[in-house]
Amino acid sequence: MKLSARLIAGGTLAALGAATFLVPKDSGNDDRWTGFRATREADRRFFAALDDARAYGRIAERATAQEVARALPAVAAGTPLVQLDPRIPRVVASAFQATLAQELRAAGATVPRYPIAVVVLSNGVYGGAHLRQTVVLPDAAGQPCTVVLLLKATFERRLLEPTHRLLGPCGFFAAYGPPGVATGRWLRDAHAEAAAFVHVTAAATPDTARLDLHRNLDFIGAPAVAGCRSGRVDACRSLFGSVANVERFAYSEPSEAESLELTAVPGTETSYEFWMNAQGTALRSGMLASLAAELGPQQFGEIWRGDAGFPDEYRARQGRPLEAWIAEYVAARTMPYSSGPGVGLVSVLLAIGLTVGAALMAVRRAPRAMS
Amino acid sequence: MSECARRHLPRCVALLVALLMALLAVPSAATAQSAAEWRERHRRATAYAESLRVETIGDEYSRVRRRTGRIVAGERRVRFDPMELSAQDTSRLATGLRRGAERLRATLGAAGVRLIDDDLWDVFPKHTDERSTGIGSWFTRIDLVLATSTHGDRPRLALTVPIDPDRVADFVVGRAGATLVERTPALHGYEGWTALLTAEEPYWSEVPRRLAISWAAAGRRCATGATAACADVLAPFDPTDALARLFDPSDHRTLVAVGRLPALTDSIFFASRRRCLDGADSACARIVGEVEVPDPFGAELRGTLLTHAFELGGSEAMARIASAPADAALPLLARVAGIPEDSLIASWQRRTSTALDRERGTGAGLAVSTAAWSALLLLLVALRKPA
Repeated sequence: MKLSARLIAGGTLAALGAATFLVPKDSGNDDRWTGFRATREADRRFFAALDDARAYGRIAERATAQEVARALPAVAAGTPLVQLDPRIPRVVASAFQATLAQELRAAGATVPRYPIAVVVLSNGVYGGAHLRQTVVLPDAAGQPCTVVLLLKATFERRLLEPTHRLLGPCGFFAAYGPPGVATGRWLRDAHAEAAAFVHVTAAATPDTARLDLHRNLDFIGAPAVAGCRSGRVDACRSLFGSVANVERFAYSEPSEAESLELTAVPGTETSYEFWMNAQGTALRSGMLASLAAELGPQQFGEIWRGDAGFPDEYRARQGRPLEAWIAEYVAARTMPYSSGPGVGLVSVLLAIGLTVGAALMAVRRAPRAMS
Repeated sequence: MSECARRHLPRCVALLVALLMALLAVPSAATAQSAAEWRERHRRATAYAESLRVETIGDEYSRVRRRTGRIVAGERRVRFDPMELSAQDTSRLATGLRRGAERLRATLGAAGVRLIDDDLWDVFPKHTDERSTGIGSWFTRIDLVLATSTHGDRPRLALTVPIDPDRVADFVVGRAGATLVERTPALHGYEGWTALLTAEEPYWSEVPRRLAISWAAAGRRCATGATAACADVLAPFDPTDALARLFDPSDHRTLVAVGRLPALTDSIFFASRRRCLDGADSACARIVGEVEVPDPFGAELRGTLLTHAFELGGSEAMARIASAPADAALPLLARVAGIPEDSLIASWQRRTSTALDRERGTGAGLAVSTAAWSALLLLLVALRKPA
């Protein structure tokens, strides 16, 4: 076969192949795909509605907790007020009392230095959790720091785990007394996220758990942790504030209900399961507890009660910025991590150098090769 | 500015200020609410989300509406979606249901068939079933699932196409046994599913084997033939007196090791437990009362007595169970079988140990094989010429 005939045959085949892409697909397939998309859209609407319903549930929890806290009788410092729903079985009730007593003992606050109230209610949990905790921070000095625990009606004793921290941020009030003005404001503004519990378990100490950020960046506040680990001072500072509420909505705009959740009932914090669990992901929630363990009750108590606020009080007493401590804290609990492009600057320079060198050699060799 | 405009200016400004104030007031009114109002909003939002769920991903909800097909075999009704079940499978399913009913009629009479009369069955499609193991998962082919909708525990049978009528018949008979146990309060401690099924031999031979290695002394004594111990084993499990009835002091260490523990905060208990596990009998005796005693045998093992009693009772079993007073379990089963309690337990023991003996065999095959090999080797040695 001549070359021209081959070319014509090849060209015809190619044209036929291309033409198949121009023929419209049969409408049955199209219907199927539009149907599929419609289902996905409907799914998206359902899950958005479910998120909203859950957000309203959490707001209702906060509002209930606030009403419960306001209806409490006056509480004196020295003895925590514990109110248990009579519907709770005796075994469960005594387990709660034992856990509370243990937590206070571990915090060195057998006699609390601030009025503390713990109210355990039955049959009040939205969603799937067995136990949810809402903390009502005091509006003014002298008001009790109140913890409202909502249990599912089917709550059993075995569901109360030894790592649960029932007191939440109120543990700090019990152990160190009323916070300074700026610290009190910070607790409310930052949703007490770095102060989720007063006593860390051995399981959360750096010897046993070093987080590998290269493998796990999928948790609330992860970008700030990674930034701090790679030496960004502002990221370290933001870790101490409220990063969760920024990060939680990082991938989508918050809905109306989700925005309301943070503002509707100020001064109340609703926990997620991990928040009250001094284990595993305690990197941020256990920050203040670790600082207390490091400084000792005397020094930490002075900083807690100081009026200038944590960063300034820490700098005044320790002679270095708080960010430096946070960087050390994160470094001790995470594996080495570098942010930015995966290829280092030296490697990039080396690659460019080699390429330029090879090109130069080729240019120099070219006249000789041609002659 | 004209006279008119000057006259209206204060009114306009007042109106504007009022409008602004109203606008500012709206958001604060929307957010300041009581807990009851927030709960109401949560309720409404949940109801809205639920309405969307039925519309979109509630495939099972919407399929119920499409199950317009009906099989009526005697009193038994099955709903299915005609799009999902072929005519051939429909008739095979009906055959299976009929066979199940016939088997019940043959063993228990008309009263046996009445056990499944109230059941409403549903067929719905399922394409695979994922089973997870520790190291991965595999998929089993399942085309259809037959389920009873009229019972709380919703028993299900996974079927592949073409449907095997005998599996459906087994399911019907099993369901009847479960219903029978559900309706008889004295038998609640027994697994009812196998009560009316003819259990296979391995099932029976497993019973004496489990009893012989049981960590409860009563089970081990029953395996060696003690009828009184078997009565303790076969009576429904009662955690309040199980410790004294089923266990010896020599079992206490195992009980402390496997029993469910009290609160983890009780450090004195855990110190004693450690001492007990290290070998101190006195520590075991002290704390054995604090652990929750688990059932060492299970409802399935006891269920074999149920099967045995119904087999002995035959077609009169249903009439006897209907006329029985609200009895304890063992006397009731003896009445069902139509023999005294001791005889029932003794015959159950014979049945289980016979099954084990039969499974072990006489050993004749092994003996012949050993003799043959020995003879062959001896012959070879004898025939071998010395070098």
